Amino acid sequence: MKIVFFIFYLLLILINFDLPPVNISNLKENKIYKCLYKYSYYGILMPIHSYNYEYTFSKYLLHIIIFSASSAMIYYATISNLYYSILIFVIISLVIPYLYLIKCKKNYYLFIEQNCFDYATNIVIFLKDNLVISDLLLSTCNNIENPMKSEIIKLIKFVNNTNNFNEGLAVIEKKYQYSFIKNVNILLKNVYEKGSNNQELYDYIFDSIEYYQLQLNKYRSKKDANKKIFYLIVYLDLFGVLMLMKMFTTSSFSITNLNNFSTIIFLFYLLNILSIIFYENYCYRTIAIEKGVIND
Amino acid sequence: MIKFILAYFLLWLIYFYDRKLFINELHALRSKLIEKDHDKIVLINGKNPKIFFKFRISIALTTLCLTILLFNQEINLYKVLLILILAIGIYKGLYFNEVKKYHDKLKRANIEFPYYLNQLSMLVSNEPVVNALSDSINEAPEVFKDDLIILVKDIHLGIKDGVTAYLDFANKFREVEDMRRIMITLYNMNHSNKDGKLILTSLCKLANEKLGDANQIKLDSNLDKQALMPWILFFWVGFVMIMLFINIDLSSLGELK
Repeated sequence: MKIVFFIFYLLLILINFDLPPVNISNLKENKIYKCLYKYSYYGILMPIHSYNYEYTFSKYLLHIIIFSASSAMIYYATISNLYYSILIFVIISLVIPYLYLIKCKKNYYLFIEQNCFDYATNIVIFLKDNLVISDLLLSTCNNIENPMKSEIIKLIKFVNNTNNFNEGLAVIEKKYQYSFIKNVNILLKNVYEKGSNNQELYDYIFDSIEYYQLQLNKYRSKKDANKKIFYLIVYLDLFGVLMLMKMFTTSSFSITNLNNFSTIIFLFYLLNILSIIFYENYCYRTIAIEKGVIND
Repeated sequence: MIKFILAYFLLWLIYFYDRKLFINELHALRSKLIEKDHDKIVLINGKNPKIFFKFRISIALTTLCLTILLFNQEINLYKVLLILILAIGIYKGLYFNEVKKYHDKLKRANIEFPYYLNQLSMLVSNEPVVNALSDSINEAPEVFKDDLIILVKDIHLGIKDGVTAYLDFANKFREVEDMRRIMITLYNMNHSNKDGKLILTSLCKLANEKLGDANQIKLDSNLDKQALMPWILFFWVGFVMIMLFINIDLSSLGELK
């Protein structure tokens, strides 16, 4: 362990003075560095900003104190190994920005989805009122927020310039890949091309959108409940292992090789961190059943 | 052994080989060897059935010949049986691989079908069935695309009369739930003299129900998977506990009296 720390400190010194073999100017062009930088605190600032969120350094410090320091302290209380405690502190501090990025992405996705639902329901309501397409789009535009608002404005400008309504709608469909947006756009195309007015169909599509939204809300509330249970189990596991170790080190039973065991507990912490990353990723991937705006 | 087989083959070639008879017998053999749904499955997977069948036969025969050559000196009845089983296994394995691909495509189509149906019901409400089917081809599940083009052609050019074209399509995808019912509804809409609003409402209702069910199944399956995740954490605790029991120094218990 001491050798690992020695190498670590040596690397820090080499990086600090930009010395070979860890030349920072070369390192910045390295693929691995680029990949890791993407998920570091400074790397996530840009994408988080694009999702309309902010992650200040004080907030990051607060997260470090709450999660990294507390985990390191629990580890130290479990096995009293300072080196591994520091390592756990560093690893969790490095993982926190990535988890925060996932959280922001999730919230952004939910916001966009709600925006799309607003767009679809508004369009159907105004179709029922039998408005002309231009009035319909303007009324929808007044009732919803960005980014769909700006998309509609772009659509209106595009139609005014090119007179190609279908192509304008196709841009929206491509950007927001929801089945209900496609359906609403089909209705819009039919009104634009044929002036058709099928009130029953509008009722039907409005019902189906509402039902879909209800299904998703129910799903998400269940998902949140499952998530709470997951994190409760994480804490229980950490404290459970702490209790176990205390029982076996203070009772008449004793462990033959305590140094070896600190590595095992470290591995346990590492596996838990990996499980959390995997879980958060899974939760993000299954946030909805349609692709929507998830591109990566 | 190999000489024996070659001698038999030569004797047959000299005394019994007749090209026409041989070709007829080969055709008869092919119809016996080929599986009932072979052509349909291979065609849907985008391959030529005849070429694929020849490929299967040639691969199986090559394996047979190569393994016989490999065991040339030490061949016996058991090995011949094993080689035959291997050749049959390869012959059938290639077919089952195609069946698996076909089933994967169907599974995907089953998932995508409610979304497609939902969109089709939108299109049908505003234009004739043939046009709606034609417009929906781009959004259709991958497996349906080619057959949808055929269906549209059959209806549009009147190649097949009445409900036959619709039923042919439905029969090809019997595994997809409610396909037959939907095809008959579409036929009714296309040929109904009355106002098709009632039929359209029933189609929309069916599409809505199917979409709702498909969404619910998908959401439930996601939730089930998510609920299983905490078990991974128990697994890690189990790992720590096992290591603990391994590392306990039992000598500290003292001597047993």
